[in-house]
Formats: sequence, C-alpha cells, structure tokens
Amino acid sequence: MMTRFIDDANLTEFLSSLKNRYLVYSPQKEGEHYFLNRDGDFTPSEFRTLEPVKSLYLYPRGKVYPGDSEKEAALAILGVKSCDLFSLKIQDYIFQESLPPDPFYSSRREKGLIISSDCISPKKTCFCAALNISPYPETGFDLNLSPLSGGFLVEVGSSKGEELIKEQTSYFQEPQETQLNQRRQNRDDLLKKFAAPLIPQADSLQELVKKGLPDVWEEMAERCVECGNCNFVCPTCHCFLLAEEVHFEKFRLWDSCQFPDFARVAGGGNPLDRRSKRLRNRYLHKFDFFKDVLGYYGCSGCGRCIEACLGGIDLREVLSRLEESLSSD
Amino acid sequence: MKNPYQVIEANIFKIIDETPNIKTFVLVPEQPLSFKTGQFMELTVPGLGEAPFTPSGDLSKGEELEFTVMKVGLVTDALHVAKVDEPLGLRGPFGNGYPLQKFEGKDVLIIGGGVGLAPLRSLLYTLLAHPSKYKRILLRYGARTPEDLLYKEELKQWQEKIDVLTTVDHGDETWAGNVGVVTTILDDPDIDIAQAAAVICGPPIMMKFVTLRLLDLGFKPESIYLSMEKNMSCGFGKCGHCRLGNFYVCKDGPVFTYEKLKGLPEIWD
Ligand SMILES: Cc1cc2nc3c(=O)[nH]c(=O)nc-3n(C[C@H](O)[C@H](O)[C@H](O)COP(=O)(O)OP(=O)(O)OC[C@H]3O[C@@H](n4cnc5c(N)ncnc54)[C@H](O)[C@@H]3O)c2cc1C
Ligand code: FES
Repeated sequence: MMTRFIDDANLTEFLSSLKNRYLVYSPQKEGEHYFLNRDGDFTPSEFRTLEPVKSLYLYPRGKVYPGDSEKEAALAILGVKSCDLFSLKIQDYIFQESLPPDPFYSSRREKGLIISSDCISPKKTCFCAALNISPYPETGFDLNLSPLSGGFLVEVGSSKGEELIKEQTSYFQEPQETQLNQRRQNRDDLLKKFAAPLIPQADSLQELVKKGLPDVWEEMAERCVECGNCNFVCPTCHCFLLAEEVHFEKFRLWDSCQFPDFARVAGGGNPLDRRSKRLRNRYLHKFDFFKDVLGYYGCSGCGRCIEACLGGIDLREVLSRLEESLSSD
Repeated sequence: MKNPYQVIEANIFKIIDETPNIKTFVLVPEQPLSFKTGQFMELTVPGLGEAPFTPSGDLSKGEELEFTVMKVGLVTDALHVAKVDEPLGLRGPFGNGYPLQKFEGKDVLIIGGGVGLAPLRSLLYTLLAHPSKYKRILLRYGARTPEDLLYKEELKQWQEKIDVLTTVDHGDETWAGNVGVVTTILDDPDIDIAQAAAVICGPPIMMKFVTLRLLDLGFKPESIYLSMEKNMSCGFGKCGHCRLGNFYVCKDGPVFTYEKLKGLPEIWD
C-alpha cells in the first residue's frame, strides 16, 4: 500500500479542502469522551468516539420512504478507529451486500470518505485485540493517519484515497525510514497494552454462547433493565423497527432485542419472553449467527456496551462466566 | 436503485367475512405485482403500521390480490374495521415461496391449521391449474370449531377434485365430520410416502405435532415444508427481528424444509 508523510500544517489545509466536497465529521473531545461532530478541527483522538460510526450511515430515526438517497450530501468521517472500521463490514453485509440493498445506507457508503487514525491508548473497556482485531487500521479506510512527531504517516487504502493524494501531491512527501520505524514502534507499544487476557480464547466463543449453562444467562440478565443501551451504542447491532408515523411514510428506528416485544408474534407467542433469553439472543446473533454466515464474529471489541450498560453487565465477564460454567461441569 | 421500503397503494375492492374473526380482503394495487405462491407482503394501514401476510388468492388473477386476515392485534384490528374503497399500502413481495418443481410427480399432502390455510389456498390454486403435474393432491385441514373453518364454499368444490379431509377440535350439532386435532387425520395408507411432499402451515404447536407425526409415518425431513412465523418488520433481511438460528426467516424463508431447521433447539418456540 502507498504510504506518504504529511506535516501538521499541510494536514490542516488538506482536511479543510475536503469541506468543499463533503460534510466533514471528526472526533471532538467533550469531558472524557470523544463525539463525532461537524466542522471542528481535526486532532488525533487517543481512542474511539462514544457513539458508533453507524449513527452517520443509519440514523437512529431515518426516513426511508418517501425519500431520495441520491440527493444527500456526501460525508467524510475523520479519526475512525479500527473497531469501527471492522463493524462496517457487518453493516455493509446487511445493508449493502445482502440483496436487496438498502438504498440510503448504500449511497452514503458509496459517496462517503473515511479517513481513519491509529488508536494511541485504548480505553479500559477496549478488547479488540482479544478478538484478533488489530487495534490500528489495516483495511476498510480510504486514508489512514498514524500520528508521529510533527505530522502523520498517511496510508492509502482505496482508489478514492489515492485520487485525493494525487490531486494534491504538494502536501505529501515520501516517508522516511525513521518515520516508518516510529510508526512500527508506536503500534507495537499499542499492542502491548492489550497483553493481559481479557476474555476466553477468541476461537472458543461460538461454542461458549451456544453451550454455556442457562444459570449464567439467568444471573447476568437479573441486572438488565431493558434500556437497550447495549444495542444502541453497538457498532455492529443493525436491528431496527420499520415504523409508519403518517400516511405511508416509513421510518427506520433503531430497535433493541432486549425489549420485551422484540420477537413477540400475534396471539401472544414470544420466543424471547425472558430477559435471560433476550440477553443470550444478543450474544448468539454476534458470536454464532455472524460466525456461521460471514466467518467472523459480529463484535468489534469496542467495549461500548460495557460502558453504556445501566445494570453493569460486562460482556467480558459474561463470556468468562460461560467458560467457567462449562469447565466446572 | 429500487427502494424496498416503497409503498404501493392498493384499494379495498371487496371484503368477505370468513369466520367471526377472519376476513378476506380483495385488493386492487395501483400497479400489477408478480408473485411466486408462498411469498408474502407487508400490508400497511395508513398512519398506523404494517404486518406480514401471504396472499391467499389465485395469483393468476393479475390485477387482484387477496389477503385472509385474522383479527389479533393492532394492525389486524384496524384492518377489520376498514371499508371497501379505503386505501391500504403494500410492500414486497418478499421471501422464497414454495419450490413447486420439487412437488412435481409426487403426492402433495397439504396440511393447514386455522388461518394457516390462507397461504395454502394460493398454493392449491397454483397446483390445481396444472393437476397433471402432480401424482395426487391431498388437503388435510383443521380448525377449532365448525364456524372457524375458512373458505367453506371452496372446501366443497375442492372435495370434488381432490382428496379433502377436515376436522374440528370441538364439534357442534351441525358437524358430522371428524372431531380431533389435525394429526388425527394424517394417516393414509395410499400415500406413497417415499415419493410424497408435505406442506404445512398453521400455529407453531400444530406444526410441531404434525411434523413429528409425519416423521413417525416415515416422511423424510427434506420432504416436509414448513411456513415459519416470526416477528417481522422489514421483510428483506435487514431489521433482524425474524432471526431463527442462522436464518433471517423473511429472506431465507418463510418456507423451510424440516431438514434445514431440525438442528435448532428453538425451532418451535
Ligand atoms: C410470513 C408471514 C405470513 C403471514 N400470513 C398471514 C396470513 O395470511 N393471515 C393472517 O391472518 N396472518 C398471517 N400472518 C400473521 C400476521 O402477520 C400477524 O397476525 C400480524 O402481524 C398481527 O399484527 P397485529 O398488529 O394485528 O398484532 P399485534 O399483536 O398487535 O402485533 C403483532 C406484532 O407486531 C409487533 N407490533 C405491533 N405493533 C407494534 C408497535 N407499535 N411497536 C412495536 N411492535 C409492534 C408486535 O410486537 C408483534 O410482534 C403471517 C405472518 C408471517 C410472518
Ligand atoms: S423481517 Fe427484517 S430481517 Fe426479517
């Protein structure tokens, strides 16, 4: 892949030139969290934003009929982290590759630009590396920025990214060997921060959620208050309710499989009639369904659900408890 | 790009009272729709919401579309008070439909319970349009009481063409037929079980016991076709509501062979 160096001043100019063509979102710090906001200056964030990147492609409440996806402005999202890039593989599969495509999601993704950046220090809740997901971006971006002293290494990840660099070559330089080494060093240091084992072996998770004993689900679900936060902050959760509010207008509303009516059918039947079943459903969808359908888990290890859970349910603890339930069997 | 959320308007042309809580709506969509029997549509009551239904009519009647709807909740209550000429909305068709080629040359045993006869009626119309393609067509249908039986006139007409048996859970003074659940009318010494296909639609509990009975009789899991009912919202594999194991029922089904589902512990939930 093509790699270039850009210094701080040129990066600022390069990124502001994007505003002619794109609505630009970048991580902005408020308190201890980053949020994706419009038009602020770009600073390399140490870790992911509070909200998942899906919120810009699939709004929490999005009108889907009538509507014309072609007329929307193109989005450029800066500072996206590796976990969120991974999550877009799941969203792309559901909304773009599985036919028929969702025209709104597809057009936003096709027109959009993603300039990702390396994590510098993970949050306490982060566990991407434990799922064998690289904590620094490897694929799924147009350009990736790795912060160095005085500037950034820019890695090209798509032809769209390459075009951008070719249009404005004067901003970019050939990288020096020392700069490439510095990036390698930073990335090695980052990986070391994930050295402690956080969850059971990644390749055991499908079996654990399928076979883990019911007591674990019952006990963990005791803490669930059915708020749906875990789903709403999850970058890979894609479930929604198609609602009609006024005459033949359709809206996609984010939905939660932790809500009691999620799977209820007419006549009162409900395959997910208990909180424990609904909690397990969430894990089955991520660690069983997507593993079988796509070959990888539908979890990016971003840890947002851990941060957001009002009942203090920690996905890492659930997985560990499932493992224990089987080993003490 | 085609918008799968698009609503096609359809006016109510006629309403037929079938049973105390089931009505058939004959709709005329603003544009003709082409279908495979067994596929379903999302039917919208304007300003309220939508629910999935499988057309129950003769799909070769191009301009008209029939839906047979049981009154059970929000959307279906509103449908039951709708009047002729009122507008409804349609999205679809969605799902896979029945694999008709697989039925050719075979005994086709069609088993319905309650309002589950609705999609099967559309299948019957399709099969009866070319009866010579199938060895025999047999219908077994059960409802709770005699007045809950759907399509009473058509049942008599079908009786003249194919082998039809009906049963009710609870009889009354007018009822001279079989009393008992539908599994009591499945034994038939003449069916060539090795060369038969069974198509089942009804409430989950009925589908479960019918499937178990058919397996006992020697039907192969790959010859038993089930219409799975799940909570559905989008209809085309996006909203996640209808997940069953590694399938989205709306897209991978709603018709499945028992072979495909038999490993799932939650199949009948
Ligand atoms: C493929 C398929 C084919 C079908 N074919 C037929 C048929 O031919 N004939 C027939 O009678 N039935 C059929 N059904 C069943 C039919 O879809 C249900 O009877 C119908 O959905 C009931 O809708 P309701 O709003 O009246 O009932 P409700 O009990 O009010 O709702 C049913 C479902 O919709 C959800 N829901 C309703 N309102 C809301 C809301 N405001 N917010 C969130 N969720 C809500 C509920 O959670 C519930 O899961 C079929 C079902 C499927 C899946
Ligand atoms: S109904 Fe939405 S995925 Fe099946």
